[in-house]
Amino acid sequence: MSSTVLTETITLTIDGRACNGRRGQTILELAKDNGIDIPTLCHHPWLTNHGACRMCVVEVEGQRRLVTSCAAPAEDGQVVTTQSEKLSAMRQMTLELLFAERNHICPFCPVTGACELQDRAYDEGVTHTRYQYLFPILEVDSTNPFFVQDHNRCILCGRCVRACNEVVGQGTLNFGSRGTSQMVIADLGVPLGESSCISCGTCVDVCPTGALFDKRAPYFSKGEGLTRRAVICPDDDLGCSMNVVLRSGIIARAESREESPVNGPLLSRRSRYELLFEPTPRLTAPRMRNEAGELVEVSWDEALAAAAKALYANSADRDSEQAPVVGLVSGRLPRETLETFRGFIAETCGSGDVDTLFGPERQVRRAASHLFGDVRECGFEAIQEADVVLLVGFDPQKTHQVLGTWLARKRYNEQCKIISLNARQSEVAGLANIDIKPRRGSEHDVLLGLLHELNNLGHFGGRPEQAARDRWAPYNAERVAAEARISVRDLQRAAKMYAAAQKPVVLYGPGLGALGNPNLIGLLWDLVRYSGAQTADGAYRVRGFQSEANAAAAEELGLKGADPSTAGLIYVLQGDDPFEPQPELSDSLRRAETVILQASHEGRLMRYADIVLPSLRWCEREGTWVNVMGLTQVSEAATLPPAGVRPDDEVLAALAAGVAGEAAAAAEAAAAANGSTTES
Amino acid sequence: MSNKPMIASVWLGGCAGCHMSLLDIDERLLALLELADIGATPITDFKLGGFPQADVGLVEGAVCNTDNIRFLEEIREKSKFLVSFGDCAGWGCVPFMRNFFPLEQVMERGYIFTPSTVDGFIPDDEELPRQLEKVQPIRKFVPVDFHIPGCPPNADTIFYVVSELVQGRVPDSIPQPLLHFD
Repeated sequence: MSSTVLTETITLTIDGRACNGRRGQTILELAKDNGIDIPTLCHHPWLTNHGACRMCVVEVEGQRRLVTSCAAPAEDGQVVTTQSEKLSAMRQMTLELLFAERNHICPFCPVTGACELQDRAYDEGVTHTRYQYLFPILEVDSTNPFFVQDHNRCILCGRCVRACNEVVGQGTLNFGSRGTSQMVIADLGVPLGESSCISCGTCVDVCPTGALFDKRAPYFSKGEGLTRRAVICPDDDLGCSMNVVLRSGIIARAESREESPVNGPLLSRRSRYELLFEPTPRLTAPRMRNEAGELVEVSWDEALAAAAKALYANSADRDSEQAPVVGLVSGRLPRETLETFRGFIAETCGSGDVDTLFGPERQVRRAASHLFGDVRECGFEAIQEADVVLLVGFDPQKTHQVLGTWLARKRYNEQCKIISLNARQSEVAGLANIDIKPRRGSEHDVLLGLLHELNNLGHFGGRPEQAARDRWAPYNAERVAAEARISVRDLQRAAKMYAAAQKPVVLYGPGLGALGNPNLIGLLWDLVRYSGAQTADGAYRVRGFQSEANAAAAEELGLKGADPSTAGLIYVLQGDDPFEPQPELSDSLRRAETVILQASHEGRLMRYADIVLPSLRWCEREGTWVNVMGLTQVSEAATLPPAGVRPDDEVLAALAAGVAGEAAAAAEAAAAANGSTTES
Repeated sequence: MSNKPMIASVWLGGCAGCHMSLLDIDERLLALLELADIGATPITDFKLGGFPQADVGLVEGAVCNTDNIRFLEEIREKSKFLVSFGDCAGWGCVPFMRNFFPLEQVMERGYIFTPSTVDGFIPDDEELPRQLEKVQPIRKFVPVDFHIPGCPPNADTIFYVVSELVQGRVPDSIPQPLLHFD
């Protein structure tokens, strides 16, 4: 151990070896650091120690009883034995009692071969149990859509309970009853599917036996012969990474990656479960409209030729009268794909009109920085250390679930208070200390009201200029509350709570951008600026989140706005984005002469498309992702696309070549026509 | 008669899978026959005159009915060293699944409510063995000297244990990776 360790160094003798460690470590941790393995079962590195299973018992000289090393603090000078006949007999007995207590029938358990109870029994050479079986009649709860809880295989180690409380902060799982009737229960003993469970699957991840297992591929997803691919979750702009676990090239499950810089052991329901399913049929062949106006399957050659023709006909350099080509691309695609698409629209179609599907949200933020002056927003650390979190138009439980989990955990540990200000029904409201739900359209007034109240409390000191104060002046709490149909007291309490905070943070979500009013974001910036809420490195304690996972990359690439309303041809590279068009975009799509759609699955945009080209799914792409904080990460491709689907860049290259071919043919025809005129 | 040790085996409430796995030791059967005689197996149907006096008795299957108990007790008496052979005999395994339902319901399910049954009834002839209320591992009724788990046990595991036993050595346990419960 290096001498730079500031904490007190202690020395123990473990199995006859001198082992160094720090005061405050448990015997188990210290032994592990020194390369000595002590068998464990209820211990898990993500969780606090519980001392429930008694597998990790050791002998400590001078102590009459065996000590559970996971829970016992290491003390200087202790003499510890981790392997002895007595200990082995004890561990065997513990295991045999566990096997006798409930109904452990390995041959038909979905996790056999990857079970920690089994592994410990093999280590100790257990071939049977000497005890009488109890044959308890226990329930199997399969009401959760994604996993099953089978009490027959539960050893009451409490890992799931601790994970649910300590890691997720959800507190759904706990112990019910005592002694032999003790059970892991959800809420007050309701089925999981009817409980407060958020289906994040962390409990399934930590379960040492088959008491909790995934429904997706129960006999397929554990044990040997699996491969893993590190993939960035394309669902939100947090940049969570996960392992896609495959057997024979087929997705078995998703698991968290502890080394992930953003989410660590956490995964959301979206990334662990929902993303793995395909809600609508996959597109594996191009489609085109026939004379009857129906989309029918055609060959790639036919579709590419038709698309190239349409693209050439609408290209800007042909005819200045021509309505422009507009490119819309999903922001849930890797940076490389966004860049290729931008290049394709610019070079092949001569158009600068390229944006992401949720581009207007980012546009609102840009408008706010024009109007209010840009602020440097804070990083994840500021959110982690916040004591009051003000959420504006943001429901992380729905859109940014891992962030929602952080907040839930902080709230569970009473490290923060939460104020939610959202006109829509939000899930985070259940966690909020103050939940303000104004009438839709009155958000602006409520924010002004909040500024007004904070100003009245003297929270802003001398920072705001008189003009700003005058602007807020009419918005007293009573007036705003009446206007927005909220409680005056809630608004005043929220202002007081925010003002009293040491390290408040304001988080706004895609919902705010979607309202299209840059003032809303600007007022939040004013709020933090006037409060002087800054981190040590000078960033303001405010952070906005976007709908699109790669919004930051799109911004960097300058995908800054396209007006599809007057477009002659709209090219939509949708990928597997579950995008639902707003009425305005639907109108534009209907108006455009030609719509080319490149998508992985059947979806609503198809009704506007003239030509549909198959595209890749998230797990088939590799590429670079930039998260909300600017962190760049690389995602691996996990699976191969099905037959008939071509990679997006290949399709775009074929189209570019097709358009060039059209241009050459046209030039030739023109030259021939010219030639014939000169001759005559 | 040779004076080689005698192996005899039997199955109770089991699926014969453990015996199939015994056959999976393949050409090593010949090596085993160098070391020991095999006196009776369920495959010989006990035509040789009941269960012989054996040095090593292998019992596959769980105890489900009164007949199983009677037979098991006889085997115990005639075997110097009794081995619980496979998960059913040692752990319970699939036959245990009926323990979670009342016996009456199990019998109705088997004899009356099966889809192909017409006018079904639960047989109660005196000649027939009685089903036990709960299926049990064999050690519930007789002392067992060694357990080989596995559903079925691996052929290598069987060969290792049985060849050790017939040579007069009793393993402490089964080493990894031969030890498995599935």
